[in-house]
Amino acid sequence: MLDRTKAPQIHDAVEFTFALPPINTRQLQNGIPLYWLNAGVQDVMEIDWVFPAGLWYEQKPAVSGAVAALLKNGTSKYTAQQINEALEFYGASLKVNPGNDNCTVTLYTLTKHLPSLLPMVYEILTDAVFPEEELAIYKQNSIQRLLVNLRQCEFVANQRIDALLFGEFHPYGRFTRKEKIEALLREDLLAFYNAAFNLSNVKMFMAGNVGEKEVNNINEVFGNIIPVKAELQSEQFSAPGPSEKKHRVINDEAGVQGAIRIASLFPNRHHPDFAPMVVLNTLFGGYFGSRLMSNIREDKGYTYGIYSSLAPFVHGGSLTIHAEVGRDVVEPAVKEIYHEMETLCNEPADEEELLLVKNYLLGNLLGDLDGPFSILQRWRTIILNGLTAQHFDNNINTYKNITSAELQALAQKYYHRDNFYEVVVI
Amino acid sequence: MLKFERFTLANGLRVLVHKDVTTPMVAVNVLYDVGARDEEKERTGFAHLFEHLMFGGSVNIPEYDEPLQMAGGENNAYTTNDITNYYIQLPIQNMETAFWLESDRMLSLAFSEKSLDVQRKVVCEEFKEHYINKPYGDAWEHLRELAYTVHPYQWMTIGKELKHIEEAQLSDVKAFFQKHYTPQNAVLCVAGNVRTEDVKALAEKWFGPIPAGEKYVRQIAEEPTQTAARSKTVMADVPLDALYKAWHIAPRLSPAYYAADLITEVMGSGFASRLYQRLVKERQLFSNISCYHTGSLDAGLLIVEGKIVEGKSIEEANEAVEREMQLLTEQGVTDEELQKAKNKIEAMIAFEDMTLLSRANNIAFYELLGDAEMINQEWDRYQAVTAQFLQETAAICLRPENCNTLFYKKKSA
Repeated sequence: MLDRTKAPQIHDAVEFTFALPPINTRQLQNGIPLYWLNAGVQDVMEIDWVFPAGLWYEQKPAVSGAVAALLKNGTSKYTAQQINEALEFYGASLKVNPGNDNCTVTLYTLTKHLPSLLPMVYEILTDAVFPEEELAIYKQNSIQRLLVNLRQCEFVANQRIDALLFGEFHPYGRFTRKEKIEALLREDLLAFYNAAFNLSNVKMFMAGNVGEKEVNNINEVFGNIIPVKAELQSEQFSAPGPSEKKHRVINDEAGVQGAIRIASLFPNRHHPDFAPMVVLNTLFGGYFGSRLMSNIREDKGYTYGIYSSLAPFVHGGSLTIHAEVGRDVVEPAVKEIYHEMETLCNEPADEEELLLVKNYLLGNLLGDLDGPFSILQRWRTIILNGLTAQHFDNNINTYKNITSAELQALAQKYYHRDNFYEVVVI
Repeated sequence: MLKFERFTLANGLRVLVHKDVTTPMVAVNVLYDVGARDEEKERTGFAHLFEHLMFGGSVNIPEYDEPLQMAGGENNAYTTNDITNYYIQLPIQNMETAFWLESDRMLSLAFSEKSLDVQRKVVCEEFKEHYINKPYGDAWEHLRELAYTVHPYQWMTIGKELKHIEEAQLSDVKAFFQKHYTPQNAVLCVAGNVRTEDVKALAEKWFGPIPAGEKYVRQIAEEPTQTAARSKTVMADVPLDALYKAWHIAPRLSPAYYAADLITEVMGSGFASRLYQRLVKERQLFSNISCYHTGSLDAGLLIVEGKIVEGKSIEEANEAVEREMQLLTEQGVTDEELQKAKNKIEAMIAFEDMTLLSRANNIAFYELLGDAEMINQEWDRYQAVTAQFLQETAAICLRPENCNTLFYKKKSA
């Protein structure tokens, strides 16, 4: 007779071995670095061009976002319509993602169409002209989008918490305002594009069903130009001065939910506490079985979801707890968040829970090492942060071996109520 | 070309096995043939609420998530107007854990008042987060009501109103389970580096003993052909006017469905599409616009939606959309446009097939439609659409009297 109360024997993921499949490193004939790997069975591929063109390098607010949005909207030879037509005809997509530090241009395509697409990508990356009329349309439509976003409590809460953490004038902390978009000039965009989207600063990544043929194709298109070295300007920013830590904002009188953001600064991947914090953060609010989710969603029903997450950047980072909760239970929810922090400081997690978190984390990581794009994503993080494959192995080691006592000590070091900024936007 | 093998258990559970030797993971997908269209008009949101309750513990296993996470697994579920789908991905060494968990909750749930009470609240917060506390969040509620007069697609998956969820009783929930959550109404797909005989042994062991239950026979009133254009105006506290238009299209398995899908590619997918180029870039009537369809199994909707540029008239914007649709009907598409639309579909299929979970999900989905083998015929069905057939489909679907228009207007301060 089948005993359904008894779980089948499992193999703990902590016992598995984890190997990051290797990546090939190649320099194009003009020195542009290309990192690539062949994996997967479908005839698909991804190429990324990563430029140091994030918010960090802006000399004028809102420029990096505008350049990213208008990159494909005209070169000296082609109109926006012609460019988009050329890319979309092959079912390809070219996405431009501006971030805090970098701007990543990503091409997704069926491998067979690569030769037809590369010349157009080259045009875009070397000869974008940002026509006035395109800028005017961009300004109009992005201001409209901003107006809609500003009506949403979570959008406003995200803006506020970053400004509190990093300071309103810091690239990571300042947020888009209507006036900043209105003030954009074509010259600003061109200046930023010429300085930041410079092939002397690019790193290229490629994965999918690819091989020497694709590498050679890239070399033919991108390897001939002799890039003129551009010096990037950037400033040092000091931490914001002390400010009020708790903020309650009514953005919508009729709102039925409050967006809670509770956050503190937290170092980036180079810090020895980062990998241990990945484990602690998972336990605290990083997965469905987390302390926060179990208490605030699954026991109390205050929210559809609550998470805590780490956001590491080149020049700093943060740790943030976020949830949208019923308007009438905002304060009880905030109280429970701190309560869970205190519990982690006061009591070590039991062995069963710790093993569960490790197995979950590692089991997922195994899934993440499956598929060309997710392997490439891991490598991109390692390379762009100036780390090595050794870092990956060290992290695995930490995930496997960290103890409850170490996690408790880590909680005591970072989960201080006084370190956290608190924003609730209704 | 996706390969799979299949067998059916004595209790009616259909099982599919897709072999992929390259992955260390296994995907286990359980698809139930129940969605919001199977709900009663006065008790909407049930299929989705039920999906939440499926995680509240089953008859022999008090906690669903914990043992799965211990086994290194990740899972989730979603509900649509047509189906409810549950999926797990975990290291292949622990595959049996997925069989144990999924079979126990198909056998019987451990219904508790506490679990129902909490999930009612959670779903109410989900409702608020996505449909109330967002500008334009209720647009789909209005649009569905306008477009469907008798078919249950007239309500959203989340439910018609919060009240239906707040009032859900344990007895309703139990009845819903017995009616829909039976082996006969489900499809199981296992994908990974597995052997069919091993999957078969596990399926027999864990799912085999579950009673077949009664076959649920779906009886849904067909939506009558729309004979006159309908429109509705909503005034709300939003920053900009927005336009939503919906035309009825053919059911999922009809050749015209594939033509409709290609029409949405031509009209409104991407920056080079017709609506974007003409109405956002050239005429600047819309700040954004998109054209898509609901992907429904029964006759669904082709949608155009967009926000109007401040100062422009929503009526003028509406006429401009209608003019573009009329042009398509009158002149059809160029060969290049059709080829572009097909190229996009070809790429989309290849990218979707990259992930194991998506393959497992799709194979189960096509089996539910009648035959998993159809997954390998999809591309041919798109290929078969000629410019002429596309134009004929446009002429039927985009008739003005088949259209529902929602004017979502900014309340003046």
